[in-house]
Amino acid sequence: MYQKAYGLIETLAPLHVGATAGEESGNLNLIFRDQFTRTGIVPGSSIRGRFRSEMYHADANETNYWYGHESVTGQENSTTESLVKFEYASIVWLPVFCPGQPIVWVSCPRLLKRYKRIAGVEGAVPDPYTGSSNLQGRESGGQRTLFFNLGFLTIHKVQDFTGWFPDGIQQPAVVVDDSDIGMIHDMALYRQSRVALNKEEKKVSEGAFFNTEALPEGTLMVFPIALRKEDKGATWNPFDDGKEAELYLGGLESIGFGHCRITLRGI
Amino acid sequence: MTWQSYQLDRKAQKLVLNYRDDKDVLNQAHKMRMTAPYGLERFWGERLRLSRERNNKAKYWGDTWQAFVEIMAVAGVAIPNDSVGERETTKVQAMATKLWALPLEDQKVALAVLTQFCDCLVWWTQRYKP
Repeated sequence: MYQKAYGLIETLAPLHVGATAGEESGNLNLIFRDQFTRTGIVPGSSIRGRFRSEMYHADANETNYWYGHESVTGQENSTTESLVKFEYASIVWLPVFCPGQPIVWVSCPRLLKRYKRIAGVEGAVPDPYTGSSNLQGRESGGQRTLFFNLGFLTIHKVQDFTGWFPDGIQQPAVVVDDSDIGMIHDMALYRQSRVALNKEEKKVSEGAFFNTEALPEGTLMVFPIALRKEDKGATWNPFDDGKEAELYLGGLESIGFGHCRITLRGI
Repeated sequence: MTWQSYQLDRKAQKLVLNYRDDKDVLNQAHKMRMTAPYGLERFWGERLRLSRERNNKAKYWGDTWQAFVEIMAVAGVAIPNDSVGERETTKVQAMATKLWALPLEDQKVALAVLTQFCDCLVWWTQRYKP
């Protein structure tokens, strides 16, 4: 029925995909989070919207064929089903500042399990508190400790993580417990207070102060794609050249966010 | 428990509450935050300069250092903490030597934590200052 494919997102700039700051969050621009791990996600609809608009510039008819036709007022049965379906993107590896390293990639079994299902990674999901074989830790009293700026953790065992990195290059990494990833994720997020300046002079506009959070640069995410094969001849070709493209996701391009590299596999 | 927090916020809040009534002293948190990136020795040594003034500023820096030493001790990093008077030149030298002799790896960790700790102090100062 459906052909299974998937996409990988590597953030090349901080990435913010979330609701705009409304009454409920004050002036805080929060990113969307996964319900259980409390880690950042990109909704399927956001990915879909960006893909659709990329294709729209080239050919509006083709866009309607792949992504479905919108309803037209007064016309019955004007909508068509989308032939390509997206699910949300979840984190595979999150870069976290670590004194002296300066980056350690962090994940948890739940996120890696999803990645395994989508990308078909072989081997068992690593246990919590397993470190990659190239991870630097401080040895003391027979324990390997990894320090962050808000806390520290002890590494119980070491394993080769090469297969768990989409490009096959092992980075210094650690897998933590599902219950700890939310907190470490919050510590790793890119957070800033920003202001909007007055149009006429270099001073802050009234009430134009906001806080924003974003996934850090270098975050690796994965999202599943389902392709419905109706017409055997047609191939879905979302990007001009091949299966990789640099796109902007999220709505904060104006403050320098959202630049991502997207790679498609299995299409 | 494999992930352990340093509980910086709790310790920072306690320090700020201890000094909240002394407005001149409370503002030292901002100076601590500025000094932190320059290294452990400068941060530690600042209390010697302040001890000439007859107020609690030096004590605040000392208490902050004490809290920092305790935090790092839980994480298994021993930070020197000798009791040194302003005029005791050899002791000052010994303390500086000890700080510079820390393994580079430990220095980096300690500075990252100290910087974060000062951020917490500043945060609480903004909330509690009279």
